[in-house]
Amino acid sequence: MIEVQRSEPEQLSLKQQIAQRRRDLNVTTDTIASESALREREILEDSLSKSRSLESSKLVSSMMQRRQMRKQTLDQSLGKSLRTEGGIPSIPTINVEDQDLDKSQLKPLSSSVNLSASIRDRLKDRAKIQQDSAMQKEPVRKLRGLRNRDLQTRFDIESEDSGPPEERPAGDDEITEDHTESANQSTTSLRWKMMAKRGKIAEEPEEKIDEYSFFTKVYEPVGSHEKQPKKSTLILPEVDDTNFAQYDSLYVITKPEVVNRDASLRLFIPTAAPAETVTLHGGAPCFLDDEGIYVGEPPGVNSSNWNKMEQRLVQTEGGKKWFGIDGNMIVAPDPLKQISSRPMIDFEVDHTIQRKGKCISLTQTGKFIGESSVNQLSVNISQVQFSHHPLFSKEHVLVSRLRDLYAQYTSRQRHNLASHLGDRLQSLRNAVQELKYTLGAKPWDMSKPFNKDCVANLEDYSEEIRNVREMWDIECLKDKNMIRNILTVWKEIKSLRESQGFIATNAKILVYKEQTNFAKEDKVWQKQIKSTFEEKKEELVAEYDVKMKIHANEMAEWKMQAREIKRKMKSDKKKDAAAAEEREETENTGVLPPKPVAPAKPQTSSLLNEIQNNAVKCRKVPGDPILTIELTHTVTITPIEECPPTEQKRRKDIVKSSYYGKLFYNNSEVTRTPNVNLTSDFSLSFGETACLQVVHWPESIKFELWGVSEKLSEIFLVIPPNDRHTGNAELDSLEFSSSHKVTYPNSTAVGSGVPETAEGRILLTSGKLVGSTAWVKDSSGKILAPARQDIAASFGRADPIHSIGARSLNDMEKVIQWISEAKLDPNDPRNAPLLHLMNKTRKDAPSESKYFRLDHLEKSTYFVSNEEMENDRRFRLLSLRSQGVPEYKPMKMVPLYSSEVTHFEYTQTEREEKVSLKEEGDVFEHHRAAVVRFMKEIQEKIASRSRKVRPVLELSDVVVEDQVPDISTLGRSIAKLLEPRHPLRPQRKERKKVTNQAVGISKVDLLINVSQAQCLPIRRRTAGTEQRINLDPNTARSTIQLRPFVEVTFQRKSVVTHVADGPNPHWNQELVLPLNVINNEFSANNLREISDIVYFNVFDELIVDILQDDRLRDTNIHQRLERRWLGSFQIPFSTIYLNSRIEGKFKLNVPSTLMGYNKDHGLLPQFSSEMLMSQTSLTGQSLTDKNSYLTIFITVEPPLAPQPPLREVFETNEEPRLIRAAAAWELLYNGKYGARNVRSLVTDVNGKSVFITRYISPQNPPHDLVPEDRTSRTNLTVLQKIAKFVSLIPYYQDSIAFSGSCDIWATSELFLKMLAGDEEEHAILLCNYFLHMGIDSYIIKGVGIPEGETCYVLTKLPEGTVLWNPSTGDYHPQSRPYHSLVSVHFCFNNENIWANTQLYDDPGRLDFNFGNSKSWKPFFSGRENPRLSTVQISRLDYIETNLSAIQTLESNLEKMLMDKMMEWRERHVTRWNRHCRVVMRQLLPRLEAGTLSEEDQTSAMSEIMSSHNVTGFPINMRYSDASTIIETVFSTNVHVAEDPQVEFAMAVYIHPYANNVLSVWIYVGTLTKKY
Amino acid sequence: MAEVHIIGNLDGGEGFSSPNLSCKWCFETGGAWRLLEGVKDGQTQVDHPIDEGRAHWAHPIDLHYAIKGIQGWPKVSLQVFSEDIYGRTQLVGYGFVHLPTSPGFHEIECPTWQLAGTALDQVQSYFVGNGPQLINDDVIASGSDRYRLQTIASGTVYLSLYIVTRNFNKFGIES
Repeated sequence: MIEVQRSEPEQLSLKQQIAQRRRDLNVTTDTIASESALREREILEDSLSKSRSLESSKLVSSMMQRRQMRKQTLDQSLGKSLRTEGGIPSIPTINVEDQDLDKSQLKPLSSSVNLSASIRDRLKDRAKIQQDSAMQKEPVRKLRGLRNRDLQTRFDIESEDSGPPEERPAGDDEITEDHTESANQSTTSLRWKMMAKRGKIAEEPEEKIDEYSFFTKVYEPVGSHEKQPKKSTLILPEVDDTNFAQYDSLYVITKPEVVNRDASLRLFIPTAAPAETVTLHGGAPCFLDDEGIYVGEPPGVNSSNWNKMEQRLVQTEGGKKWFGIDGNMIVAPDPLKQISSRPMIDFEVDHTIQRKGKCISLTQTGKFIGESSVNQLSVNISQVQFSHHPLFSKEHVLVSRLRDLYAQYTSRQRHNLASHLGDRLQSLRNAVQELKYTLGAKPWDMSKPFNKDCVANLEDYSEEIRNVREMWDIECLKDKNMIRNILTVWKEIKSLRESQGFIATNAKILVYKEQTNFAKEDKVWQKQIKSTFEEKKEELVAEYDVKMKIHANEMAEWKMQAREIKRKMKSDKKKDAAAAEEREETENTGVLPPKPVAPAKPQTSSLLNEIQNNAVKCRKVPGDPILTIELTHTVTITPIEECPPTEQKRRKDIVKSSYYGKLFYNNSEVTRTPNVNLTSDFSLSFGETACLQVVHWPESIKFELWGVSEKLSEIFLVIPPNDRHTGNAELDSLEFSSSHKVTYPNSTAVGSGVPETAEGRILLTSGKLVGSTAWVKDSSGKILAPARQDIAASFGRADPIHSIGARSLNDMEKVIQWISEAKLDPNDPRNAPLLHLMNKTRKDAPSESKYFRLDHLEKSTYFVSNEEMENDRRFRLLSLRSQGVPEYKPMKMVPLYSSEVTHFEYTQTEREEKVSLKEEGDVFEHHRAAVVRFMKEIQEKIASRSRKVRPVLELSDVVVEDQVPDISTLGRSIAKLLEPRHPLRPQRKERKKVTNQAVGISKVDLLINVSQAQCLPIRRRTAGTEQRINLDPNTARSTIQLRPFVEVTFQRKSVVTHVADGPNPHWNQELVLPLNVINNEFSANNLREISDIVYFNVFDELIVDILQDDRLRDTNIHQRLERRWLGSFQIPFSTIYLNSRIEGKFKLNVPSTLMGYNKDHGLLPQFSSEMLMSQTSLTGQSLTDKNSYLTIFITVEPPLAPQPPLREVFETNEEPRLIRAAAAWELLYNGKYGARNVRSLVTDVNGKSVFITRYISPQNPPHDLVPEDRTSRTNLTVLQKIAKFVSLIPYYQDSIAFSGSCDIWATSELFLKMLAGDEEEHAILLCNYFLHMGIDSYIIKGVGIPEGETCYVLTKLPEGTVLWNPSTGDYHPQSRPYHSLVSVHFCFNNENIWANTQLYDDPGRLDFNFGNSKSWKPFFSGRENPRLSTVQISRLDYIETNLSAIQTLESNLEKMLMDKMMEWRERHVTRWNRHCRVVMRQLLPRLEAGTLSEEDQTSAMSEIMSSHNVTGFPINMRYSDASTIIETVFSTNVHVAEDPQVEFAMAVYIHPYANNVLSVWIYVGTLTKKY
Repeated sequence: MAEVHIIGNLDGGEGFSSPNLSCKWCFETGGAWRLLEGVKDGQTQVDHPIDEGRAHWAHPIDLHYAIKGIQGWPKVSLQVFSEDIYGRTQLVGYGFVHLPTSPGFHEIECPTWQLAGTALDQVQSYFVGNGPQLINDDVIASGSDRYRLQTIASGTVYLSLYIVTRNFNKFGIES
């Protein structure tokens, strides 16, 4: 403020002048404005302008004086600030002595003022402008009044700039014209203000404008000076008092808004002008941020507000404490965060919300980028440069070293650390001097009490100076050494070139010398030395002082000790010498420590020398030329023909060697470059750009450099960050090296990996790859980079790493390590997130748990333990019931308390199994158990698969909706009227299917329509019967052949038809049997699991007259009805359910011999003679069709349509091409020909789809079935035997086992092992056997009766085509009219599949010539047949059946049957005829062998028959389990013999085949004594 | 051993943009709860109410839980869908409600909400329907992530449930 006060008188004078003028002018302007008399004003202004020049010169001169003073102070303060800053030598910014108002000199200042947004900027500008100017200006300590001064100087300058006012056109619009330069102010507003001011001024007396307000008016233009420098041009004319009218108006404009009207109040009105800079201690301002301390950004405040505040503070008492050491107000850093902390909604939403159509990428696994985006990576391999190569000559090695050195040299030159440090040292020295001076002390006088801070600063400075000096020395030395090294290497190269006699490289070093001015340099040198010397001396002195202080302390201590000892010694002397030893001891202890040696005074004499030597060593001695080195490649290489042979060889090798590169993306090779020859300068220019479309996240991009045969090295390229695209990617150079050993004997090449002879160094092949990786930018400018969710993204926007601009950082640990190493400024809020991250990770690191448990305390709140819960029987029962475990499913009620659950058994299923096994006493117990277990396993496997593919309910499954009648249905109903009432061939109406069985079904009935039977055996006329029957008057006239009826048994309930007459009876009767289901629940699952069988038995009703007394015959009828079993057949319910209805002629299983009955009953009406002929030719025997048939129709009421079989896609090992072809083929033929279905893929036991032909392959039957003689192998009897063997293998319906979900096809090996399978397994085995026998055989897939969908085997024998039913062993010549196979869908063998495309599908009418493409469509047409390998093993092994076990089984079975028989006949005594049994037992093996004719049988039985009436029959069946046999025997109703005299005979014979396949023969008979 | 039966109805919904509603429901429980019998999640039919007011589902709920502790008392999380005249379904509300802990009959109202989405979403859903949806339905009933969502209030779903508890007093739980 001294400054301001001092300038006041001048200002006052100026002010007075201006005020005077204004007063004069006031009138004139008023008149001009009011009268708008242009003319008058012009005249007036003319006159004014004349006096303008004179007066302006006066004004200017007075102002110049002031300006000079201000400048002086300004410059001083600037200089001060520069010095304190330390980096730049203190230079007065403006040449103060310059008296002339020269534009060029002033302009810089004004510009600097304009720029001075911050003080620092200004300082730097100044320093740049005037770096060369003198620096010995004596600094005068002044307060800085920078801003105020600027303002004034600017007035002058810009008045010069804007040119002399005389040149401006005078006129009415003068004011506006003056304002053209103004930035923003509009003339209207100016005018308005002008008018207002005028009015004000006119109103107020001039005296009221006091001194102060005038002061402010003059110096403060409107607005901020610094920010809007142009505004000052407005003010120019006011200062320039030549144009008073103008001046006055402008003056009024720039007047502050608040006018102190009442001078007496003396209020302080702060203006917007910058205040004086004030520092706390009155010293020069220093800037903390320049010293590396974080200051923070001040909040944005309008500068006028800022200035006002400063002014106010300056004015107030003690206001200076509000100013910091940098001369500005103390301001807290901007409290506002740069980052908005409110979460961005779109970012958050993306994690939890899915928008329609958004592709969810598979990035969760971390590998796939996702399918939605196309990501392209461009990898550019530009070139490879070897820094060492095996083919380098010695010269090359040196040159590459030279090149390295030169690269270092140039980088050092560029950074120029030495000169920078030198500058810094200089500025530090200046700062110290300045500091010392400001303290007002002589340099070396340390005794005076100083301000503590300043001393501390001083110490800091000198410490820093020492450090910088040492660093400077080191850097200078390095520079010097660098040049020296380069020159040494160059010399070596030169000498090498001379010695070897040729030049292999073109490198050349050029040294430029720059002569310097010795005097000038010496001056600097000396000064440098001097200041160094002084500093060192000072340091030494300081050190000495410190040492002295220590010494003084030590001395004081020592003295104390000495005094103590002396006193002790004195007291000792006083004591007697009794304790001499003691004294000695005390003397020992009391020996004085050596006197501390005073530190030597610092020797300054040698110091100067030292410094000089050091300077000579490190720096350039004055006068020495400055050396600049340049590496050029201008030397001509010696042509190859002039070189010695070794060098020639080397060069040839270079030409020969070539390289190529392989590019790997995530370790898989994506491309490779063409071979590139090595150039003579050992570089490979690939110039390859690979564009990769990327699906996986980039993990590594690797480039492998390959020689001709071996890998040289691998280089990992940079994975580009997302924002690096081909447009902005720069070439990276990546270094690589290789450790492989190469030597070139007889060549100048040095090789690689071998120690260099001279220095013992090992030179390894190395080099650098120049290339780049970037994401491709497509034509729309989109970068085709994956949207990576890296750490940055996971942290969101407030991510610390993101905030510092680093992206795609994945390695957190490295980041943390970097943070801890980087020593970040903890005060800087920008670093806060990073530091927080560091703290967090530090804290987290030791106790980082792998999982997070929200409810770890939950367990403690449990009042029941897990075990207790698990063991609760009630809960178990409940959950078992809800899981649908079959045993518990039907449970309606569950006890309320656990204690009531008494009969609870977990292992009920297992128990059941065991019980049943025990009952049978079966030797095959183990085997059966194994089969059951295996089936269960597969069942579970399949069930788990099919559960996944749950059938989706359709509307029709849920809603029963009658179709709304439309035109077509109406038409049909009208057409119905025209139909015959009783058609000759009535068709069954298709019933409407009910799909969901669970809805509203309470009762399901089995409807059986027994229509007729054919070819039943007729009674043999025996004497007894005839006699008796003849007694019947009605039948006496005709021979009663038969009175057959049919009994249908299902679920132990039976119904019978009425009794018909004759061997070809017609019943046409509908029988109804109720269906009982578990739990009475007719769900699909329940129905599917019903394994009950419907038995059809045909009996002959025999009326036995039991009237004992003939006398009563006329009046009484006493007859007994007896039934004789004629034959039977059975249909499993599952077949009915799956087919929903079964209709047709079924073959009755009539025993081969039926005692008392005769199958030969003459010519049957159905057979024509030709048919018989053909049969004769086929079989070679005269056989008529002895089979009996029963025509029935079975269905379920209400109609239960089964769920369609699951057409699921199983996994497969087949080729995808084949799978596709199969699907296409199936699609082509399925549904095209009615109900015919083709299949090419079936499911194997592992649940995999297998191509169907793979099952067919020749396999050997048991050897005892195959005759040795090859020619007889195709004999029909042999084949029949084989077919019988196959048919004896137990049958096991898949659809029952696997819940009908799908059909499992097992291999023959497994089939034989398990001894269980359905039609296809039997068929496959039979077909394979036949193929082994060399017979052309196929498998027919079609629909049979009664099985439904079934498999037959077709053989093409020389006699004709024969169809084999594999599960019964029957064979039908194709020409036979009745086949149990009703339709053929497709056929296959080991090579191909043929779909039936003929009009008919019943085998009798089919053409089985598969070559005929009209009839059969093959899967593989023609040559493209791949002949798929088989899944079957080529040789089957059969285990030998244990004969003793069989015998036990035989006797067990017989005993069991006899027991059962007695059980069934509970009301009667059962007597057994042993004799008959023996006879029967003899017969049975012969029956098995097929050698027993009917005559033989009768003759064998004749003895018994003579005394007894014998009825009986043998049953032959396969052995699966005992219960089936018992059931079969039961169904024959043999036990229903009411005759009290009846005797029974039973014989069981088991014929063993290989592999435990058994043929069971049971002969049952009844005997009644003949009377 | 304590047991809880939840028997009742998912009655209907009201106050949604369209009355043709269906509802997906799921009972969520803590680890101490073991479902003995019943289905804990399902979906109702779509109801097209004639009176244009409230959709009636009357969807039966029958659950039987055995519990080790009462932590994690069940809550129902619901998703309401509406069907428009073209047969398209769109989500109109998420909601969840804790079941009452006292035994007896309870009529429960579950208010629902919908995701607001961005302005673009809103414009889009105005014209073509189908606003944003949650990727993970767990968010409905778990509080951890929901704070980030911006939602709009939607209609109300009504449930009437009987809560039957058993053996609670044996373990010192008063109910």
